Amino acid sequence: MKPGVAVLLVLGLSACQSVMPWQKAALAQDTMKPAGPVAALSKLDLHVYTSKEAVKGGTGIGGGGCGCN
Amino acid sequence: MKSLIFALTLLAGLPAYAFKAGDPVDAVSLAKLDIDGGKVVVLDFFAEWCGSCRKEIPLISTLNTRTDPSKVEVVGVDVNESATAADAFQNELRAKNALNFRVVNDPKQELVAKFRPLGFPALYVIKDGKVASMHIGAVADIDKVIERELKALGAL
Repeated sequence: MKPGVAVLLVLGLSACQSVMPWQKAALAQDTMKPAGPVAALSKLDLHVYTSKEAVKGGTGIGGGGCGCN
Repeated sequence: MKSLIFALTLLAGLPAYAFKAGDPVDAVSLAKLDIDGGKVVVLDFFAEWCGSCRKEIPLISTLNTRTDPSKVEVVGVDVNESATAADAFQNELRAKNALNFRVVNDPKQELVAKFRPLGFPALYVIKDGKVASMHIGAVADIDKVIERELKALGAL
C-alpha cells in the first residue's frame, strides 16, 4: 500500500470529533466534574488525589469547560 | 511514517478561527446582527454557562456607558441553545444593571459557527464590516483594552 493511501485511510478512520467552545454547555455543568456537583466531595476527592500522588494543582480552569483562559 | 500519520490525524481535528483581524465579516452575519455600517461595533459572544462571560459582561456594559452611541455600538450574542434560558440570564443581568447593550439570541448557533472563536467569551471589534481586533477568553480589564482600541480607531 502506498504511504499516501495509508494516510488517507487513517484520516478516514478517525472517530475524533472536536467539541467547539460554543457547544460546551453540557460539559460546563457541575455534574460533569470528576467528583460531581457536591463541592465537599470534590474537596475530598482532591485530598485523596493529593495524598496518593504527592502533587497538587492543575485540576481545572475557572468557568468549567467553556474554553476560557 | 507512523509519526507523520499520527500528526496528520491530530491536525485533521484541529478547529480554526473563521475571522481574524483584517478579515471582512460576511453580509449574512452583518444582516443578522443588524449592524449599522457607519459605527464601530463591539461584538460580544457569551453564554450563561461561561464563568468568565459573567465577569466580562458588566465590564463591557460600563464601557458602553463611556462610548458615544453615534460612533460605537455594543452588540451581544447569546449562544445558549435554549432561548428561554438565554432570556432568563439576560434578565438576571439587566436586573443587576450588569447588562445594558442589545443582545441577539443565537439558539441555533449559526452566527457563532460563522465566527468560530476558539474560546469564550469572544469579543470582536468590527469597523467598516471588517474585524479590527478580537479577544478570546478572559482578559483582565477588558473594558480598558477595548477602550484603547476604540481610541486608536478614532471612535472615542
